[in-house]
Amino acid sequence: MERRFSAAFVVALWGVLNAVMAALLAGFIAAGYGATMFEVWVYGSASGLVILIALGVWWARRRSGTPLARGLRIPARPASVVLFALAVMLVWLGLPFGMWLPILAVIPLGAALMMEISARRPG
Amino acid sequence: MTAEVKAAVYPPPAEDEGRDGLLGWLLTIDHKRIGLLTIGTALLLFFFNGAIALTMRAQLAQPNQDILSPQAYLQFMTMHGTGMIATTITPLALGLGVYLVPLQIGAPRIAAPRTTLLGYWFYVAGAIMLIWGFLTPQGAQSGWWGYTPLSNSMYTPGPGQPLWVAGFFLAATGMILQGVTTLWTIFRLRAPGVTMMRMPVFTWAQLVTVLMVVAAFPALLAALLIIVIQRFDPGLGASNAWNFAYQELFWFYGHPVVYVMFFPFVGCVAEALSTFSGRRFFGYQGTVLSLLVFATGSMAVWGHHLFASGQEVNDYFSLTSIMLTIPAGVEYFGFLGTILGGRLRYTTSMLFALAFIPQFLIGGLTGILVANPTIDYQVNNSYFILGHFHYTLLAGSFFGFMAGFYLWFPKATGVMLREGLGKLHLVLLVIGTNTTFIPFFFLGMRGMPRWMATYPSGAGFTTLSLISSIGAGIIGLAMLVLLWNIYVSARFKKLAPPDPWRGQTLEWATSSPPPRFNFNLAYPVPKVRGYAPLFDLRERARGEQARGEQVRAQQAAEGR
Amino acid sequence: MPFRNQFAWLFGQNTTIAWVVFGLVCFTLLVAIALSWWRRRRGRPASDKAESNRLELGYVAALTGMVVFLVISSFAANGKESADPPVTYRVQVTGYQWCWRFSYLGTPLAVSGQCGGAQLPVLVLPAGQPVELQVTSSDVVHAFWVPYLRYKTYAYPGHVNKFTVTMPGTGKWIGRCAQLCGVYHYEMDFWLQVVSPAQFSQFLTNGGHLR
Repeated sequence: MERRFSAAFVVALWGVLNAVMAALLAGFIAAGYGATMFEVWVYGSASGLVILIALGVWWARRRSGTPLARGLRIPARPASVVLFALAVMLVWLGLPFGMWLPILAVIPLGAALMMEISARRPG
Repeated sequence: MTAEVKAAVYPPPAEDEGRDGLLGWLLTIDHKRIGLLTIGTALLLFFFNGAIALTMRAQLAQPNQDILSPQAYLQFMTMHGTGMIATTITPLALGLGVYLVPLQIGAPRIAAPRTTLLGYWFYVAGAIMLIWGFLTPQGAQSGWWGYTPLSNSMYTPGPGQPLWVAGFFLAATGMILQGVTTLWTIFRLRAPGVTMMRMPVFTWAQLVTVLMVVAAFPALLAALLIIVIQRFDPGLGASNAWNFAYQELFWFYGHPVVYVMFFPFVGCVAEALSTFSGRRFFGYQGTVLSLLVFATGSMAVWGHHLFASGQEVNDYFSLTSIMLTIPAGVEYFGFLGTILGGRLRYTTSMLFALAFIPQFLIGGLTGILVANPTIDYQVNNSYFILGHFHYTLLAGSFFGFMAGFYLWFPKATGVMLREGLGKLHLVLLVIGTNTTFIPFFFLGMRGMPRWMATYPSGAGFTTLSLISSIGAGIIGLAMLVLLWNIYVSARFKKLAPPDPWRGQTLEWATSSPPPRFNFNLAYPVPKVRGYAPLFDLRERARGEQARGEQVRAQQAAEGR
Repeated sequence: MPFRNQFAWLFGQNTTIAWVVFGLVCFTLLVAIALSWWRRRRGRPASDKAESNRLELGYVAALTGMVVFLVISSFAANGKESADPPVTYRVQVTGYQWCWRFSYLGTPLAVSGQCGGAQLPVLVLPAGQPVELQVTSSDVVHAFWVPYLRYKTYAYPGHVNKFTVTMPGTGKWIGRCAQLCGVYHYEMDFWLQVVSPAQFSQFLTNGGHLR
């Protein structure tokens, strides 16, 4: 079996396999084996997401051709990533400790944004 | 020809040689460093969550003890479960992929390196919040399931539970990001010649893992948001629809996550078995297909956690759960087929891989047992189930991880680990895991439920619990031997060559540790003709050598 | 009483199959080690065969056959456990943090107790007569489990799980809460006590006392 499969095909196949299992579940529920259709919605949307990803991969492939087309553009400012994580953490800390913490998150978020903007400015 | 083209594409740009020192590591965009950070943090937390388990086992060694109050016990148990799943084994699984997949497919880097780094920092933030919650006096006590309404603000007030929700959410988000970038790498950055059906078994295992991460982890985020809503409006906890919706969403994640914590280590076992049998992995095509089918199956069985709920489609989920036997059986066909035809080398990595085979099987077979609602009605939420999943996770996945750890440690660090200490680690771990968890099956059959902070003295649980606790101590001892091995190997270095094992896949074609962009002029990407490229090249070279000798012999005969 | 019987035969059947599979795999592992040793002794290289598709397909067919058998067993057992004979009594079982209350529907009788070792509540049932248990909760999620019965079911707030039991003979067995429900989950035990129908009628009329 020396057929060549593309990555998009593999992902689409996996999405379809899951969609089949979701349909089987729907069949069981409709035949009166119990439960509501909520779980079919959950499983169905997960399968749909995977199929969408496969379509996205296929489309991106068509647009740009060879796999190494992106080359080696080195991203700048990894530090902004850490600041962004800190900002998100501060937002979540609002849940146990009160709303003043998410307000504090503006500081690292702002710093991260400034780093990003300055990195993209020419020169 | 191909080698020179590869090398020309990978000159290291001056600005990104990577800073050294602490900041160079914490702000790295080198996937190898991100992978090692993830794995290193996860291993640290393994010891932390393991110490928590040892404390729990000390509490349960005898009846009616007071080492942990009931409240403290629930906090410990919640931290152990959530910590091991969200901040230890899942990051080990995904971190291994972040490290290894680009190397195995001949790529110079991972796709979206900053997103991968962000995944690491979300994971760290999540772990910090989980541990913070554990350390507050009213820490999360909901168990790792966090069922509502117990986890809402009416039944568990205080900051501990929301810290748990936040920590779990962030750690899982971090893992989704790392999964997505690994997936993108497999799609877009495979070296020429690395077709899908030429990817190594480990990379295929990682591919289906990250597919499950992308498909199933968002359900957890939705479930956790239900808890957030109930933290603000706990009255919703009286509604069965909300509570059961939580359970459906949670388990839609909760089953695939255990396969996320399994497949990469199956990949480790496959690589170890083939390398140390001296042959290609047997039944590659069947294995690839079975990985895809197994991953589909794992998405379709979550309702078996809800057999006793009275609100689930039990027959469907029993069907799908029992069906998992087929792809699992095909995996075992590959393992056994590989070693049956091999000349085995009993390195520590290989011994862990061989031990995985029967050890995981105990977990797998007990899993098929409880795939029957009739059996599950009795043993669900008892120590029997604890035995089942500790066999799959510790005696299975963790043993598989150790096979990979001993295999790839020299590649990642440039230093060899001591084989003697490694074998001692293995022996102690085998004794420890079996001593700890075999009693669990019997405790479950005797009617001991989960989540027991202590138990009465006349219930028949005492002797088995004591044996189990002794076993836990042996596991602790085994892990200390691992630490000692790492210390000794780092202190008295035995340098590792590029390929200490006669490896078969592309990571062994580069230096130990690999250069900044994985391959360069000195270590170019070799020609890839199959899923074990280095093995193929050696085979070809042997073939050419044999032909050369034949020709010379012929010439010598003619010349005479 | 279907639960015990179905559990016994299914568990027996499936554990036997599991032991056989485990034995086969371990045996194959030992054979592999032996073969490797033999190869080393004879100076033979490892086999260069990378697949055996016919064998694998045959193996998958065998696995599929076993799966079909196991699924049919599972459906059969599950089907037998869902039997619904006409009931003579109905008892509402309510779990709450952290004990149990048993309300005998159709009578004013409700029995509770004090968990935590003191006075465990006792669920009294008549022998030989089908009783419907309606399991629910008044606060968080609990689960009703009697190991002797080989059955458990969840207790949800706002939902009732019903099942029917016919206890064949008299006796007294421990029951436990089987879903984490808070700090004293571990103490939330109760007794299931089965008495003769005559004793049970007396129990219902004299305010829940057994002589």
